[in-house]
Amino acid sequence: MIYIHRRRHYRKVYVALLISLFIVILFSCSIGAANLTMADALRIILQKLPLIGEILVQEIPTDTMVSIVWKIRMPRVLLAGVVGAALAFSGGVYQGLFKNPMAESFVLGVSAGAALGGAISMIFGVSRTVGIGGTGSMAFLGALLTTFLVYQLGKAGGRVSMTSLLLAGMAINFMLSAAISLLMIFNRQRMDNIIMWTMGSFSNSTWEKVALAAVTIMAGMLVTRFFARDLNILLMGEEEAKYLGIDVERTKKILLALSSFIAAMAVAVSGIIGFVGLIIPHAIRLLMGPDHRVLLPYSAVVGAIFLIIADTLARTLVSPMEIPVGIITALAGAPFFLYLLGKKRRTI
Amino acid sequence: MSIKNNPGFSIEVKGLNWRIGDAEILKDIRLQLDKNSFVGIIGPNGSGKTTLLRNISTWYKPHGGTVLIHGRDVLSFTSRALAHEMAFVTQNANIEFEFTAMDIVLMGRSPYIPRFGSETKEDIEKTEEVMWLTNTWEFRDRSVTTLSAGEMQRVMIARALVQDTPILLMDEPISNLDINHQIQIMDLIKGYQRKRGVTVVMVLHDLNIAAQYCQELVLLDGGRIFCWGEPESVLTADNIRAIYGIDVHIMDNPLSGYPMIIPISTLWDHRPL
Repeated sequence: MIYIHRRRHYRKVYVALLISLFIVILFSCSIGAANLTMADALRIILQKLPLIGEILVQEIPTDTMVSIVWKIRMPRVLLAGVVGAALAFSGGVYQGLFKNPMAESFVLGVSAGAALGGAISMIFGVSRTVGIGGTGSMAFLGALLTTFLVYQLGKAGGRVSMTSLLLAGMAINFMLSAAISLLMIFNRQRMDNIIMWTMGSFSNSTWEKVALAAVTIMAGMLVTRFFARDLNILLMGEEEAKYLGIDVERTKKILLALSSFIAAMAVAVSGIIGFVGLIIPHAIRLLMGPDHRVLLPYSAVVGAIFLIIADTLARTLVSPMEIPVGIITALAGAPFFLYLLGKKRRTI
Repeated sequence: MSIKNNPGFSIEVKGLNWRIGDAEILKDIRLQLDKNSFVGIIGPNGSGKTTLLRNISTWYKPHGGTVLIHGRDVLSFTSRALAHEMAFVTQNANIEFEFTAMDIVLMGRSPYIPRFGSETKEDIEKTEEVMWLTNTWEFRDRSVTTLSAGEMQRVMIARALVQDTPILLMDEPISNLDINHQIQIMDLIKGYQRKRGVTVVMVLHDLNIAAQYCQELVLLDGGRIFCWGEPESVLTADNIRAIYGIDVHIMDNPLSGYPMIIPISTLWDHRPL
């Protein structure tokens, strides 16, 4: 599996994954209280295409069908996809940076930092006056501060120890979660809004959120992709990386900022959803090897598929009630975390 | 590579001091290493051999004095520019990730690949050439986690060689290897050094290997240079007794004529030599 000899293969599998993602999107748009066929969903989506839409679609679906798919389900499905991609992608970056399979925005407390930032922006009216971009900025600020705080705490005697890093992350995670709970108690009238931050949910998805998340997250992932080779080299250890021409401190800071940004944007639109960033990159690494040029883009697509399916389960399993999607991902992720914890530290 | 043609020393160390807390690890090290030389750094454990290499490589920053390569302060290079000038084979590199041998060797081309680019045909050809030279081509698509110590060491050396640098630093490249692999690797490095005219600075434990392969030896003791020169002048019975505290018998190697060191066991003292 020498990377340069398999580029074409990796590309083919990637296209297959993108097609699967599209099918999953169609499928998720078609199921729910009002059951439609996947063909209906496809028709409605195609119809919305500018210029060619009307030529492609002869049979006009009913207005209710259109509004269910286009106004309710599509934004929700797409938002779950973008957030899943962001969490898995940033998880892959964190795991590579910290050389630890348990690193992830949720475990490191970064998600909680972003959520606290988001909750504060909501309480102080930043979200209302500046709009969702304000929430996003505050979430990013919270994530960034948490990342550097955890990183500094984990830095025992100049070198970053992975164990102390994870412990610091967990401690900070508890602290920030407690802070969010406090905010909830002092702002009872907004309790429901704040709860959304602690238990991730896509039930308030809008096209506005999709646009914000898609643009910022994709831009972040695109920039990070150009550091994939550097991440590979960082896996050799910092000293080796330096000898291979990497400006280690600078590259680490850039990558931490980028992955915090991506994770924060995901939290800003959906709240804290754990374990996606843990399971997906790890599974991809087992299947495709450790090269980040493959690992990161693959994690993004598989993360999107995973979270769309998880959210579809969340809204259909006990319909008309809804299970918070974080519960579904935690049910799948927590045992996986324990398995990693128990496994002898081998390859990440 | 205009720097390759510059006059002056390949590496010059001027009054280097380095310490941890109050403990002085290196004291007033002064060295001038010519281009195209093969230099061994020897000395007992804790004498500062690896620390010296790491000060040259800028992993450690000197607390006093400077290190120049081709007449320029090493600290003035960016990491990337420095990776065009020197490659470093560190001790006990262990990679826990399932990269293939070729993926690892290709990383040596990284200083030449622009951020928005990827490996060119030239990078791949160079890598292939070096992998044949180092006998690593046969297991190019095996995961490095499955390689033996000798195979892994050849991969790490291959990675340093594809960096195509005028200076090679190596920290005990042959410890923990079987005798056949030791000779194989030393021959490989020596052959490459002669052919390409690069400067090799190598920390070695084995004094006999050092005597056979190095043009110059630097003997460190307690963070100071005890002596420095040709193997014949450094590896004397008196020096070794002073530094290592054992008696040795030194004879000419019957095959190569270089000094050969035979440690004298205290159990043998009744036997005539």
